[in-house]
Amino acid sequence: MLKIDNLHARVEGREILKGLSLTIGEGEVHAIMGPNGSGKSTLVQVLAGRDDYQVTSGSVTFLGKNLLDLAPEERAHEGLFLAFQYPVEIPGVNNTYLLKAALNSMRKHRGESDLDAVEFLALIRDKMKLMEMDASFLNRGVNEGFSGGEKKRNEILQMAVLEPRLALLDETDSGLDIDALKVVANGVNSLRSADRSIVMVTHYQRLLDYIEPDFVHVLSAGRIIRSGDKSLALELERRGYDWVLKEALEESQA
Amino acid sequence: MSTKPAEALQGLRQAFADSAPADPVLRKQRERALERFMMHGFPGTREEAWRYTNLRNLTRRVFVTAGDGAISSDQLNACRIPDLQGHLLVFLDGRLQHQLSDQNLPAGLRLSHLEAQDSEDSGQTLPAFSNLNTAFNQDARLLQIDANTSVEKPLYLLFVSGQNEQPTMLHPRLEISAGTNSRINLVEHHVSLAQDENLVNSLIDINLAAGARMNHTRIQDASKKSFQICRVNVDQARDSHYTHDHICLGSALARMDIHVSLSEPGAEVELHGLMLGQGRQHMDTHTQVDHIAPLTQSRETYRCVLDGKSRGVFNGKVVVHRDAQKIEAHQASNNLLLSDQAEIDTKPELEIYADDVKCSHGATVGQLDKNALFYLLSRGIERTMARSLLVFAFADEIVAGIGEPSIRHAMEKRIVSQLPDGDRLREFV
Repeated sequence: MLKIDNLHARVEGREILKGLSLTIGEGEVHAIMGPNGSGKSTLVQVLAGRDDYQVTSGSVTFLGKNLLDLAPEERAHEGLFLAFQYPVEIPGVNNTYLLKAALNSMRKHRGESDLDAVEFLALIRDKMKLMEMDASFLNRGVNEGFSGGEKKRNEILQMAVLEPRLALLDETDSGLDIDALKVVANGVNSLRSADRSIVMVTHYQRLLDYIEPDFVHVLSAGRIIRSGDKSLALELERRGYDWVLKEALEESQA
Repeated sequence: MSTKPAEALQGLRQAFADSAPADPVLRKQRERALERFMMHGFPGTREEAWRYTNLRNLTRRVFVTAGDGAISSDQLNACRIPDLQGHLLVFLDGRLQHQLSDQNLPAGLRLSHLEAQDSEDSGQTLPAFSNLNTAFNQDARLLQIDANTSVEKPLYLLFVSGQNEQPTMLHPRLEISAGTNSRINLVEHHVSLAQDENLVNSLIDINLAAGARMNHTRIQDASKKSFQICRVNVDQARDSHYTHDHICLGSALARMDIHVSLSEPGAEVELHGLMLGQGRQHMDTHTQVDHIAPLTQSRETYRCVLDGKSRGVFNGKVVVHRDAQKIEAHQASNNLLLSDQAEIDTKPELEIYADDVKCSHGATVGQLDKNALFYLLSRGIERTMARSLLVFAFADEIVAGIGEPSIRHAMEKRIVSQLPDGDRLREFV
């Protein structure tokens, strides 16, 4: 699905990713954890194609294509989806417009015809039920005046509508109370499938109680320093990051 | 210093000689107005009020006065806002077309000819274009709304520039007098039948008696080669309310001066405007609100979207007179520049001579929000469409405030139609 090889990236002249390599197989769920400033958000922003970030070396292959050659909208067309840590408020652009424009853009790319108004509404209603969202939300501006929890739910709603092949969830758990977290996790779990991969970036083990990862990676100073299964996350929760950092340092010196 | 291109001024004299009325009193009055105009000619950029708006292209032309034009009902239907159900008055080249207009205005609404127009007799010094209007206006009208009359449907004033062979000057003149506690929605719509290079120089005086409420929507969608000069003077009595929504889309050069006097306590004014410039269009809005009486309120919201080499000017002047205590005056000017060569000059001007007042003003100039753009792109929306969607959203903040749904809808469609990829956005408005 996705192969990242020795990726280096900088922002405002500062190198953030320093040789990151990671392979994600079809249907796999990966969690990327790590202390603040380790490069977690940079990684997902680079993958989504944000132009503030400059890739200096390395390669990223997504479904056989060179991802770094593609514009952000082309990456989305190929099936990449980023659930933002801080979803942007866009007053004046209605949620329904956004969902419809996005979905029809994807369909156009796949050579399918636009959904008509009835089909579209039926689809949206269904997905909104899944995310326990009120119908009034459709007539509001994109994320305008939404609570933190509503914004995160809206991200997963968009994911449910767009049905990506690879979803990057950037701190989707932050700012959620336990009830909202359950709704969001339930939404994500319902979207797990054999041909859809998910990468979760998170600080906390808490999210992983609800969305069980197949693999857990620790990111530090722009590189993955340790990978394991879900038990690694539990160990990090118990012992913090220091021991991993220390072991990684010792390994590199050895 | 003013500009006096001799040929243009000579042209005005000739046009005056050809069109001056026979009535000696009226003729005398118009001659005086013309002479006052001639003393200074067209305003030049050394005058503060015209610093950013150069009338060079206008003063290079010789305009003739309008003849009797004709408009077919098909042409008329193509011009008008489709679903606006109102009392229609059609002005073609400045003259009221009775056969195309609603024959029966509702009770309490009266339209008559306007007599005795020269307000300089009262000792006031008038702006150049007001003098020019007085010298040349053809079919000046007085509109009266009787006290306690609520006009239910909008009064739709459609000003059409006809198919003129030469650049033609039109000087619409309207005085509107709204009686005590009257209510009216006024729609002023300027369009062109052809790509004319006309000069439309409108002068509108509005008086609101105590408790009167008026919503005035102005749509300027004239030929993109034309010149649109407009002055609106509003005088408001106690507890009156005036709302002005201006959508400026057309003309090569558009200048709007709106001057509101809040003369008695409780008077409130709301001014909203959107200027959408493309190509080499030049759009200028000057507002002046005089808080003469205490306990008066003004709110101004202006937005400008400029593409290509277009240029925008916003100057918002607020004067709080001595003893006008406990007033509120708020002003916002937000501007979006879509190209490196577009330019906006925005300036608030506050003169405050009272001490217990609440005043605020803010101006922003920026490009499309990068974060919002990336968000839309990341959802697979193509760049052109994503940009158009954001431009539309920015402009729609003003359009959405228009009370009459048919106008709102027509303007949203109109704005979308001139955006790149607009046809694909159409289904969303």
